Amino acid sequence: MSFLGEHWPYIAGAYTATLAAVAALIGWIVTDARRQKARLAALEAQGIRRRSDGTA
Amino acid sequence: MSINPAGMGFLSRLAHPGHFLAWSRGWIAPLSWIATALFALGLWLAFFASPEDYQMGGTVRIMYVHVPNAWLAQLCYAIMAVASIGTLVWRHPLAEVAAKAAAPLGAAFTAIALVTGSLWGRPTWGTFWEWDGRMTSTLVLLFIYLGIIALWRSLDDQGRAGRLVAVLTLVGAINIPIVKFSVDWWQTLHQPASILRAGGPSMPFSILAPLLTMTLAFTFLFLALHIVAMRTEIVRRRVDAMQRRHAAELGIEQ
Repeated sequence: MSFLGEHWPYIAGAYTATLAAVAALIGWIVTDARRQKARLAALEAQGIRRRSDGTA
Repeated sequence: MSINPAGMGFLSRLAHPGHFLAWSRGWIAPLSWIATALFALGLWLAFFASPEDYQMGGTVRIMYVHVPNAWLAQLCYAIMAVASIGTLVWRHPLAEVAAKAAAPLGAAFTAIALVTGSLWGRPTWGTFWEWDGRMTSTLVLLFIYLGIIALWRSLDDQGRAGRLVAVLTLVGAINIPIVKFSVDWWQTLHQPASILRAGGPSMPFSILAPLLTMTLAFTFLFLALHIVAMRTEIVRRRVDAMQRRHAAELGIEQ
Protein backbone atom coordinates (compact mmCIF):
# COMPACT_ATOMS: atom_id res chain seq x y z
CA MET A 1 0.00 0.00 0.00
CA SER A 2 3.05 2.26 0.12
CA PHE A 3 2.25 3.65 -3.34
CA LEU A 4 -0.82 5.30 -1.78
CA GLY A 5 1.35 7.37 0.55
CA GLU A 6 1.38 7.81 4.31
CA HIS A 7 -2.43 8.17 4.54
CA TRP A 8 -3.14 4.83 2.85
CA PRO A 9 -5.33 3.50 5.73
CA TYR A 10 -7.83 6.34 5.12
CA ILE A 11 -7.81 5.75 1.36
CA ALA A 12 -8.20 1.98 1.77
CA GLY A 13 -10.94 2.56 4.37
CA ALA A 14 -12.89 4.88 2.05
CA TYR A 15 -12.77 2.46 -0.89
CA THR A 16 -13.57 -0.55 1.32
CA ALA A 17 -16.57 1.22 2.88
CA THR A 18 -17.81 2.29 -0.55
CA LEU A 19 -17.39 -1.21 -2.00
CA ALA A 20 -19.18 -2.79 0.99
CA ALA A 21 -22.09 -0.32 0.81
CA VAL A 22 -22.51 -0.64 -2.98
CA ALA A 23 -22.29 -4.46 -2.78
CA ALA A 24 -24.92 -4.51 -0.02
CA LEU A 25 -27.16 -2.17 -2.06
CA ILE A 26 -26.88 -4.30 -5.21
CA GLY A 27 -27.43 -7.49 -3.18
CA TRP A 28 -30.55 -6.09 -1.51
CA ILE A 29 -32.06 -4.81 -4.78
CA VAL A 30 -31.40 -8.06 -6.66
CA THR A 31 -32.74 -10.19 -3.76
CA ASP A 32 -35.88 -8.05 -3.49
CA ALA A 33 -36.45 -8.30 -7.26
CA ARG A 34 -36.17 -12.11 -7.13
CA ARG A 35 -38.46 -12.30 -4.09
CA GLN A 36 -41.22 -10.29 -5.80
CA LYS A 37 -40.93 -12.31 -9.01
CA ALA A 38 -41.20 -15.51 -6.95
CA ARG A 39 -44.34 -14.14 -5.20
CA LEU A 40 -45.88 -13.32 -8.60
CA ALA A 41 -44.99 -16.74 -10.00
CA ALA A 42 -46.50 -18.46 -6.93
CA LEU A 43 -49.79 -16.60 -7.36
CA GLU A 44 -49.92 -17.33 -11.09
CA ALA A 45 -49.22 -21.00 -10.37
CA GLN A 46 -52.37 -20.99 -8.19
CA GLY A 47 -54.32 -19.64 -11.16
CA ILE A 48 -54.66 -16.16 -9.69
CA ARG A 49 -54.46 -13.51 -12.40
CA ARG A 50 -54.56 -9.73 -12.55
CA ARG A 51 -57.95 -8.12 -13.16
CA SER A 52 -56.68 -6.75 -16.51
CA ASP A 53 -55.86 -10.33 -17.61
CA GLY A 54 -59.55 -11.09 -17.23
CA THR A 55 -59.03 -14.76 -16.50
CA ALA A 56 -59.17 -15.06 -12.74
CA MET B 1 -55.11 -0.13 -13.82
CA SER B 2 -57.80 1.04 -16.22
CA ILE B 3 -55.72 3.39 -18.36
CA ASN B 4 -55.86 2.56 -22.04
CA PRO B 5 -52.33 3.00 -23.50
CA ALA B 6 -53.66 3.27 -27.04
CA GLY B 7 -55.39 6.53 -26.21
CA MET B 8 -52.44 8.22 -24.55
CA GLY B 9 -49.61 10.38 -25.81
CA PHE B 10 -46.14 9.00 -26.45
CA LEU B 11 -44.65 10.07 -23.11
CA SER B 12 -47.69 8.92 -21.17
CA ARG B 13 -47.46 5.58 -22.93
CA LEU B 14 -43.78 5.24 -21.99
CA ALA B 15 -44.67 6.07 -18.38
CA HIS B 16 -47.51 3.58 -18.16
CA PRO B 17 -46.29 0.95 -15.63
CA GLY B 18 -47.03 -1.94 -18.00
CA HIS B 19 -45.15 -0.29 -20.85
CA PHE B 20 -42.35 0.72 -18.49
CA LEU B 21 -41.88 -2.94 -17.52
CA ALA B 22 -41.64 -3.82 -21.22
CA TRP B 23 -39.24 -1.16 -22.48
CA SER B 24 -37.04 -0.83 -19.39
CA ARG B 25 -36.01 -4.50 -19.41
CA GLY B 26 -33.62 -3.92 -22.31
CA TRP B 27 -31.87 -1.03 -20.57
CA ILE B 28 -30.59 -2.83 -17.45
CA ALA B 29 -27.77 -4.85 -19.03
CA PRO B 30 -26.35 -2.01 -21.22
CA LEU B 31 -26.41 0.43 -18.27
CA SER B 32 -24.71 -2.15 -16.04
CA TRP B 33 -22.01 -2.90 -18.61
CA ILE B 34 -21.33 0.80 -19.21
CA ALA B 35 -21.07 1.33 -15.44
CA THR B 36 -18.67 -1.62 -15.10
CA ALA B 37 -16.43 -0.36 -17.93
CA LEU B 38 -16.42 3.16 -16.49
CA PHE B 39 -15.55 1.82 -13.01
CA ALA B 40 -12.62 -0.14 -14.47
CA LEU B 41 -11.34 2.93 -16.32
CA GLY B 42 -12.01 5.27 -13.41
CA LEU B 43 -10.21 3.07 -10.86
CA TRP B 44 -7.23 2.68 -13.18
CA LEU B 45 -7.07 6.44 -13.64
CA ALA B 46 -7.53 7.00 -9.89
CA PHE B 47 -4.79 4.67 -8.71
CA PHE B 48 -2.29 4.42 -11.57
CA ALA B 49 -2.63 7.38 -13.92
CA SER B 50 -3.31 10.43 -11.75
CA PRO B 51 -0.85 12.37 -9.60
CA GLU B 52 -1.09 13.24 -5.93
CA ASP B 53 -2.59 16.65 -5.24
CA TYR B 54 -0.11 19.32 -4.18
CA GLN B 55 -2.19 20.07 -1.04
CA MET B 56 -4.10 16.84 -0.33
CA GLY B 57 -1.38 14.40 -1.31
CA GLY B 58 -2.63 10.83 -1.82
CA THR B 59 -5.95 11.51 -0.10
CA VAL B 60 -7.15 13.16 -3.31
CA ARG B 61 -8.03 9.57 -4.33
CA ILE B 62 -10.79 9.57 -1.71
CA MET B 63 -12.40 12.40 -3.70
CA TYR B 64 -12.95 9.96 -6.58
CA VAL B 65 -15.55 8.08 -4.50
CA HIS B 66 -16.68 10.93 -2.23
CA VAL B 67 -17.68 13.47 -4.91
CA PRO B 68 -19.73 11.04 -7.09
CA ASN B 69 -21.71 9.88 -4.05
CA ALA B 70 -22.29 13.44 -2.85
CA TRP B 71 -23.54 14.30 -6.37
CA LEU B 72 -25.89 11.29 -6.42
CA ALA B 73 -27.17 12.10 -2.92
CA GLN B 74 -28.52 15.36 -4.37
CA LEU B 75 -29.54 13.94 -7.78
CA CYS B 76 -31.66 11.21 -6.13
CA TYR B 77 -33.44 13.81 -4.07
CA ALA B 78 -34.03 16.02 -7.11
CA ILE B 79 -35.58 13.02 -8.92
CA MET B 80 -37.78 12.32 -5.89
CA ALA B 81 -38.88 15.97 -5.77
CA VAL B 82 -39.86 15.96 -9.48
CA ALA B 83 -41.62 12.61 -9.01
CA SER B 84 -43.47 14.04 -6.00
CA ILE B 85 -44.88 16.80 -8.20
CA GLY B 86 -46.00 14.07 -10.63
CA THR B 87 -47.66 12.24 -7.74
CA LEU B 88 -49.48 15.26 -6.31
CA VAL B 89 -50.45 16.99 -9.57
CA TRP B 90 -51.12 14.11 -11.97
CA ARG B 91 -51.36 11.21 -9.48
CA HIS B 92 -49.21 9.24 -11.86
CA PRO B 93 -48.49 5.74 -10.51
CA LEU B 94 -45.03 5.58 -12.11
CA ALA B 95 -44.04 8.86 -10.41
CA GLU B 96 -44.89 7.28 -7.06
CA VAL B 97 -42.91 4.18 -7.97
CA ALA B 98 -39.90 6.26 -9.11
CA ALA B 99 -39.89 8.24 -5.86
CA LYS B 100 -40.16 5.17 -3.66
CA ALA B 101 -37.43 3.30 -5.56
CA ALA B 102 -35.00 6.26 -5.39
CA ALA B 103 -35.19 6.78 -1.60
CA PRO B 104 -33.01 3.84 -0.42
CA LEU B 105 -30.52 4.57 -3.20
CA GLY B 106 -30.28 8.21 -2.14
CA ALA B 107 -29.86 7.21 1.51
CA ALA B 108 -27.03 4.82 0.63
CA PHE B 109 -25.21 7.37 -1.54
CA THR B 110 -25.58 10.03 1.17
CA ALA B 111 -24.20 7.66 3.82
CA ILE B 112 -21.24 6.79 1.59
CA ALA B 113 -20.58 10.51 0.97
CA LEU B 114 -20.59 11.19 4.72
CA VAL B 115 -18.29 8.26 5.58
CA THR B 116 -15.78 8.92 2.80
CA GLY B 117 -15.85 12.64 3.60
CA SER B 118 -14.99 11.89 7.22
CA LEU B 119 -12.16 9.58 6.17
CA TRP B 120 -10.82 12.34 3.93
CA GLY B 121 -11.24 15.01 6.63
CA ARG B 122 -9.17 13.28 9.31
CA PRO B 123 -5.79 13.43 7.52
CA THR B 124 -6.60 16.70 5.73
CA TRP B 125 -8.32 18.82 8.40
CA GLY B 126 -7.28 16.83 11.47
CA THR B 127 -10.86 15.86 12.35
CA PHE B 128 -13.40 13.26 11.24
CA TRP B 129 -16.31 15.65 11.75
CA GLU B 130 -17.04 19.35 11.99
CA TRP B 131 -20.51 20.84 12.44
CA ASP B 132 -20.15 23.14 9.44
CA GLY B 133 -22.84 24.01 6.88
CA ARG B 134 -22.02 21.41 4.22
CA MET B 135 -21.54 18.44 6.54
CA THR B 136 -24.49 19.26 8.79
CA SER B 137 -26.89 19.82 5.87
CA THR B 138 -25.73 16.54 4.29
CA LEU B 139 -26.39 14.73 7.60
CA VAL B 140 -29.86 16.34 7.64
CA LEU B 141 -30.35 15.05 4.08
CA LEU B 142 -29.60 11.51 5.31
CA PHE B 143 -32.17 11.90 8.12
CA ILE B 144 -34.75 13.15 5.59
CA TYR B 145 -34.11 10.09 3.40
CA LEU B 146 -34.49 7.79 6.42
CA GLY B 147 -37.72 9.56 7.44
CA ILE B 148 -39.12 9.13 3.93
CA ILE B 149 -38.23 5.41 3.88
CA ALA B 150 -39.83 4.97 7.32
CA LEU B 151 -43.02 6.72 6.14
CA TRP B 152 -43.26 4.50 3.05
CA ARG B 153 -42.94 1.42 5.26
CA SER B 154 -45.31 2.57 7.99
CA LEU B 155 -48.47 2.70 5.83
CA ASP B 156 -50.11 -0.27 4.10
CA ASP B 157 -52.11 2.02 1.79
CA GLN B 158 -49.33 2.90 -0.68
CA GLY B 159 -51.49 5.48 -2.46
CA ARG B 160 -51.94 7.44 0.77
CA ALA B 161 -48.29 6.89 1.71
CA GLY B 162 -47.27 8.19 -1.71
CA ARG B 163 -49.15 11.47 -1.25
CA LEU B 164 -47.83 11.98 2.30
CA VAL B 165 -44.27 11.16 1.20
CA ALA B 166 -44.62 13.53 -1.76
CA VAL B 167 -45.51 16.41 0.58
CA LEU B 168 -42.66 15.53 2.94
CA THR B 169 -40.23 15.24 0.00
CA LEU B 170 -41.18 18.67 -1.34
CA VAL B 171 -40.84 20.24 2.12
CA GLY B 172 -37.45 18.55 2.54
CA ALA B 173 -36.32 19.80 -0.89
CA ILE B 174 -35.48 23.12 0.76
CA ASN B 175 -32.39 21.34 2.11
CA ILE B 176 -30.91 20.69 -1.38
CA PRO B 177 -29.96 24.32 -2.16
CA ILE B 178 -28.69 24.56 1.42
CA VAL B 179 -26.37 21.59 0.80
CA LYS B 180 -25.26 23.05 -2.54
CA PHE B 181 -24.69 26.65 -1.50
CA SER B 182 -23.69 26.15 2.16
CA VAL B 183 -20.03 26.52 1.20
CA ASP B 184 -20.77 29.94 -0.31
CA TRP B 185 -23.21 31.20 2.34
CA TRP B 186 -21.17 30.34 5.45
CA GLN B 187 -17.55 30.15 6.50
CA THR B 188 -16.87 26.42 6.43
CA LEU B 189 -14.01 23.95 6.56
CA HIS B 190 -15.40 22.42 3.37
CA GLN B 191 -13.86 23.86 0.22
CA PRO B 192 -16.10 25.78 -2.23
CA ALA B 193 -17.40 24.25 -5.48
CA SER B 194 -14.52 23.18 -7.71
CA ILE B 195 -16.28 21.48 -10.67
CA LEU B 196 -19.69 23.12 -11.27
CA ARG B 197 -18.57 26.74 -10.93
CA ALA B 198 -18.38 29.89 -13.01
CA GLY B 199 -15.11 29.84 -14.95
CA GLY B 200 -15.00 26.04 -15.20
CA PRO B 201 -13.36 23.40 -13.01
CA SER B 202 -10.51 24.59 -10.79
CA MET B 203 -8.38 21.47 -11.08
CA PRO B 204 -5.95 19.99 -13.61
CA PHE B 205 -7.22 17.51 -16.20
CA SER B 206 -5.16 14.69 -14.62
CA ILE B 207 -7.36 14.91 -11.51
CA LEU B 208 -10.57 15.95 -13.29
CA ALA B 209 -10.46 12.90 -15.62
CA PRO B 210 -10.73 10.19 -12.88
CA LEU B 211 -13.22 12.34 -10.98
CA LEU B 212 -15.58 12.70 -13.95
CA THR B 213 -15.11 9.06 -15.00
CA MET B 214 -16.00 7.80 -11.52
CA THR B 215 -18.93 10.23 -11.36
CA LEU B 216 -20.26 8.85 -14.66
CA ALA B 217 -19.69 5.28 -13.43
CA PHE B 218 -21.68 5.84 -10.25
CA THR B 219 -24.41 7.66 -12.23
CA PHE B 220 -24.82 4.73 -14.63
CA LEU B 221 -24.85 2.36 -11.63
CA PHE B 222 -27.62 4.45 -10.09
CA LEU B 223 -29.65 4.42 -13.33
CA ALA B 224 -29.39 0.62 -13.59
CA LEU B 225 -30.31 0.09 -9.92
CA HIS B 226 -33.14 2.60 -10.07
CA ILE B 227 -34.72 0.84 -13.06
CA VAL B 228 -34.44 -2.55 -11.33
CA ALA B 229 -35.90 -1.13 -8.10
CA MET B 230 -38.77 0.53 -10.01
CA ARG B 231 -39.59 -2.71 -11.84
CA THR B 232 -39.55 -4.56 -8.51
CA GLU B 233 -41.90 -2.01 -6.95
CA ILE B 234 -44.36 -2.37 -9.85
CA VAL B 235 -44.32 -6.17 -9.46
CA ARG B 236 -44.76 -5.82 -5.65
CA ARG B 237 -47.85 -3.63 -6.17
CA ARG B 238 -49.30 -6.06 -8.70
CA VAL B 239 -48.78 -8.99 -6.35
CA ASP B 240 -50.34 -7.09 -3.43
CA ALA B 241 -53.34 -6.13 -5.61
CA MET B 242 -53.75 -9.72 -6.81
CA GLN B 243 -53.65 -11.01 -3.22
CA ARG B 244 -56.20 -8.42 -2.07
CA ARG B 245 -58.51 -9.25 -4.96
CA HIS B 246 -58.17 -12.98 -4.38
CA ALA B 247 -58.86 -12.53 -0.66
CA ALA B 248 -61.92 -10.41 -1.49
CA GLU B 249 -63.21 -13.08 -3.84
CA LEU B 250 -62.84 -15.66 -1.10
CA GLY B 251 -64.60 -13.32 1.32
CA ILE B 252 -61.57 -12.92 3.58
CA GLU B 253 -61.37 -9.64 5.49
CA GLN B 254 -57.88 -8.04 5.26
